[in-house]
Amino acid sequence: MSTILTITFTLVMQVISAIPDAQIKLKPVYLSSQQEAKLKLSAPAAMAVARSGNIYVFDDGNSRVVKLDSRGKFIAAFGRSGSGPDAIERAGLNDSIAVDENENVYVSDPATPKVLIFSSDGTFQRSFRVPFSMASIAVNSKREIFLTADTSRSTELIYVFSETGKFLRRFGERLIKSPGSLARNMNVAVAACDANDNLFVAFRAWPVIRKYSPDGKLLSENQFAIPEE
Amino acid sequence: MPGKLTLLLTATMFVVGCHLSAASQSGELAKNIGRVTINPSTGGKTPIPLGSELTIVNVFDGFSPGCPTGNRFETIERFNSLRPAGSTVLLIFSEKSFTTQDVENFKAILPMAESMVQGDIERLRPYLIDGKLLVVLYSHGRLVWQEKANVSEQQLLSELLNLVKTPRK
Repeated sequence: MSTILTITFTLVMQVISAIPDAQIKLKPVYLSSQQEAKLKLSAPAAMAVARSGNIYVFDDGNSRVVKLDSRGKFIAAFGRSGSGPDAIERAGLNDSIAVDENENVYVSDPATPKVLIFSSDGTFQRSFRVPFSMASIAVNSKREIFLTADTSRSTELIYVFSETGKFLRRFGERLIKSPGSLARNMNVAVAACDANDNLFVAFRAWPVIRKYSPDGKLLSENQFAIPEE
Repeated sequence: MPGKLTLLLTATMFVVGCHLSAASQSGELAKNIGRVTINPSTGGKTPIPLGSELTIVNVFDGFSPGCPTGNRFETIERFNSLRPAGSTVLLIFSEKSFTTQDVENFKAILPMAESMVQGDIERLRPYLIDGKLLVVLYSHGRLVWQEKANVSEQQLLSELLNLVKTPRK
């Protein structure tokens, strides 16, 4: 419970820090009042900020996406639990949301596992299934979808799909190349694209950040020391 | 004495009844397998293609690594790497749950691409166990083995391997 609260607090702080006008006083989202039930989040797991400033929070416990404006005001909530191509199962606190330049919203559901695509108003567009669990999702300016694989198989780290869900390519060496559950945990990584479509990958269990070119060439790998307290 | 006779009769009826019931269930399953169709990449719908000896057919209504469906895939992958010549493996993904593109993606990403196909498995839906079902068919379509509930993947693998090793007439 305390872990969830800590993650919730961290995410809320990220939402607040993403808001441009520091003068705006926000109430922490997770403490919203009874009258603002729509804003009640349950284990928010990930967030993405669109160019417009709109904020999309993946509300894992409610299997939905909550859309806020740049001032943190509730706009909409969409997505549902259950079964079917438009249903989102709990993502288990994964980094499971991304937004493209047209503000389409991409959600990875590692349980089913599948990727769901919504338009910015929350209309479900389509989904496609993938044969592995995912740790993270990112989208570049060409609307190519990058998924980091969370798998015990000895395979590549990153899988790329078109916006229509066609598998395009895979690349990236795993930190631990052997198969198995330990290697799986060590290779869990989160991903993000920059404005030039370079892909950044950070490993959760090891302080390494890699930078890949848009076509998947490794440009750099930096290991960071964890500062002692 | 009449009491013992009654008991014996009851026990016999129970045993026979159970067998008849199991046989009829198996017969129904065999009939329904015959109605399963696959969607080959060349288009159209065709019945399950049978190999020269045993055809191991696994239908999937879902696919999730670490769950029964994902574990089943790994079992078949292991079996496939050991299987003797003559046995054929067919993995049918439900067209209700997987699009054509999903199956194409699976083929591109996972091993055993040549065994994967999309199909209409609705006739087998009542028999699915945790979103999957494995059956073994002989070359003329006779059902020779079917998956049962609460059997571990390890046990299932060893039963399959025994089955393919058993000489058939």
